[in-house]
Amino acid sequence: MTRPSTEPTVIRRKEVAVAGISESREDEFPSTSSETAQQPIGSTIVLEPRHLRVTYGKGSHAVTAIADITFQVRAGEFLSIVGPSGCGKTTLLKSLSGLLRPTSGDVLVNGTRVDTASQGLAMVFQEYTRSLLPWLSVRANVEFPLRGSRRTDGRKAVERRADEALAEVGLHGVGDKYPWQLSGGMQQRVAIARALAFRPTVLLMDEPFASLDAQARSDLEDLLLKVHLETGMTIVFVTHDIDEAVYLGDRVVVLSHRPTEVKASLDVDLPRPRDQIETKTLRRFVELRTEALGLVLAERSTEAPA
Amino acid sequence: MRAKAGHLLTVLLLPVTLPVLWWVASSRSSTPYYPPLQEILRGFRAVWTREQLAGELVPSLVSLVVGFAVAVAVGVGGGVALGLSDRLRRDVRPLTEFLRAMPVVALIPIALVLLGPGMRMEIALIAFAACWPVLVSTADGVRAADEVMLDTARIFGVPPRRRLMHVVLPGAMPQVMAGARIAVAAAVGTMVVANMVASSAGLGYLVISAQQSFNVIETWAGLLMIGIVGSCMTSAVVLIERFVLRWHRRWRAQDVDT
Amino acid sequence: MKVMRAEPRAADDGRRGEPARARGRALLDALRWAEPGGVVVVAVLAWEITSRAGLLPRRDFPPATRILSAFLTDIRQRELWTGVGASMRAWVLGMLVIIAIGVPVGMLLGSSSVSYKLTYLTLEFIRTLPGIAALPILMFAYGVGQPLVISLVVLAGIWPLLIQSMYGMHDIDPVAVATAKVYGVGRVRRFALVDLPSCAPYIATGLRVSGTFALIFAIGASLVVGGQGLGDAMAEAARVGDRSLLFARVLACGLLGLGVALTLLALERRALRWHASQREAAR
Repeated sequence: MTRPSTEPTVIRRKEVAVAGISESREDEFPSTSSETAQQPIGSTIVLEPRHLRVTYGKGSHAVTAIADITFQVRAGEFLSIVGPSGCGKTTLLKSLSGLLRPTSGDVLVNGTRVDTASQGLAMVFQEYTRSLLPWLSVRANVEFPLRGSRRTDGRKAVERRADEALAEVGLHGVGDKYPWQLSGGMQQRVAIARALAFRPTVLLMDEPFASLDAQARSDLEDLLLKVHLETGMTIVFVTHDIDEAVYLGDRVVVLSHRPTEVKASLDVDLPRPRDQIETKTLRRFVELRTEALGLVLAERSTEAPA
Repeated sequence: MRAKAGHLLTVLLLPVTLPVLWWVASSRSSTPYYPPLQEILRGFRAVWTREQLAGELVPSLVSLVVGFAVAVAVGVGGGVALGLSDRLRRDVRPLTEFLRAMPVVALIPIALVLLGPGMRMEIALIAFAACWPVLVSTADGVRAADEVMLDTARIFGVPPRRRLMHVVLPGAMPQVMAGARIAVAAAVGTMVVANMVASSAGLGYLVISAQQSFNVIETWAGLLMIGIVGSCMTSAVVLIERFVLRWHRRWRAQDVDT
Repeated sequence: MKVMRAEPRAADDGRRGEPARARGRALLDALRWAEPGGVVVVAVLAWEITSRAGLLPRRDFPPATRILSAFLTDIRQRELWTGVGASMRAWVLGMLVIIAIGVPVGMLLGSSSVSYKLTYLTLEFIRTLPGIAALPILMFAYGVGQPLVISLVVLAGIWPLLIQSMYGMHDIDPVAVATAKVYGVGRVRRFALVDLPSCAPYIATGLRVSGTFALIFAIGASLVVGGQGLGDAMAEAARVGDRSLLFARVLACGLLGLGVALTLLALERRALRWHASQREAAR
């Protein structure tokens, strides 16, 4: 699971980082992400599920959703997670975020055990219509987690952070609209902006682009890559789309079917920045996606008939 | 635009034509109990003099508005509590179901004993009768709070109080308002009954005493006033609803379109 | 780096014997009822103590035990049951009229978008007007008696059912109608196979709301205008100044209301369960 030490990604990230917005954000970033920019990925572990096990129900009715999951996410890393459908990806994310208490094992964020939600993580859900509050404007949605919580800054600072985040995702000037007045892709941008403004230790994404049309999906993939490059944010990206996982990630973790375990971890040694056409025609890309696909399909064929 | 105007016209056609129909149909009425609308309106002006308005209408309106406000406050507060805690809801369910099923008229004798005739008794009865629709639908709305919205707020570390005020309550607002609209009918009805049975003033008292002295026109004039009060109150609640839920209406409309 | 290992929570920790588990479940069920039951007991006790301690005027608020014994005596007497019988008869007759008029008229109004648009606003307003206000006029027309009570019950209780039936027809899934048409299902069969089943849950909800409204008026009418009924029985207890009896009859009234409400709720649940499963399948 160790990364190759030759890592062009980080250096390029620093180079590409645009001046102004992202520069100042880098400085303000709490936690480890500001160090990331100088240090290669792999120096600090920010998120680590250890022997995670989740069982629903009791006695003979018990269903083990997750048998044993251990992996490490390093600061600044873009980790993709794929697995056969119904493999408990959502359960895994809920445990990582602290929404769900694991039956045993634990989750460490910056070395501290998570026992509640709100550990400085952010999440982008697949169901954008249900995750954005329909009674708040786009801007108010982005500002919502920043107000009235422990992380509250001054009003001005909150507004500035929301502005920066909206600009970052290309939504300048729609702050006064309601989210449901926007297309699905735009709404998901709002959700990403909200996460950006929050400046999380780790950004968790639960199949965020699965309900979007193909065009919006590839736009948002590239937007996410840009954001990752510019902010150095650590991202855990769960998807059922293997191409997407390989295209976006520094590493792809393949899960087994239920009861879920980590089946393999593939390092994605593709150069960055990535490009929808160029990257996807690289022989290495094809090799990686074939390998990942093989692993997932193998899982499906061994799956016990329901 | 034209479709919209046409829609409005269709919707408003009946409310406009009904009084006209009434006017025409009753103009030659010889049944003593159903006098022509023209006479009722003339009687209405004669009955509702300034003194009558101050003496009979204003007390009724005050009880109505205060009782309704208390009902909404209690209903929303109790509904939120019951909606948030499954355990509390289960534990007090026998009591709430019993009280909710209790016809409010059954409580008039008790209210009379406890508070005596007068405005305090009326307010208490109105508040009691009108709080249940609000309470029940608020509890439903709070329970139906969207899990994804709540999970989002939890992950972002939004504290519980703020989650309640900004996620749960706005989400339950459509139901709260629907309950409030039903509560209007309960409130007005209770006011009229309380007046009829246990007061010496107010709208209900006016119509029942007019009836007992076989003053048909005055009875109808009182009835008309009750209708006006009820309609105004409903309109007020609907207006508030439209304001509070302006996001909701357009959100729903957009949902239907796509 | 502090690491605390979570204790494994009790999950698939071995299997207990079947009988033991069954006993455990029975105990759990009993506990589930124990808490609400306890709340009722506490409420009754609180009443008892409040009254005995004189926190409320004792003459007006007799202790719970006194009310209960009055209740137990009363339910063995003819007088209460005549009142209950009269009120329930008015309720049943009123409900029959309500169903006979409300369902067909509502469905008819909902079946075309023009009649729906034409009437829904007016009906929504009419329903918020208190039916009891019409009482004086109805007294002119019918005098005091069973017809008066029934017409009041109908006037007050018909709107929820009528409006729900209308919404039911209005909200029929157009795909279902189109499917039926494509397969050449005739109008009559379409009514039986598509319209009625789609409306059933709405009608069930309307029936519950109408039923509780109607009951209030079936009982209340006799309190306001006299004549036989549970309301009059209460008024009688108040007239003779027997507080224990008054509260006992209020209790009877609440229990009757509870019984009717729960019966109608059970009916609605059955209709809605079908509805929910149907919608689940449609997805």
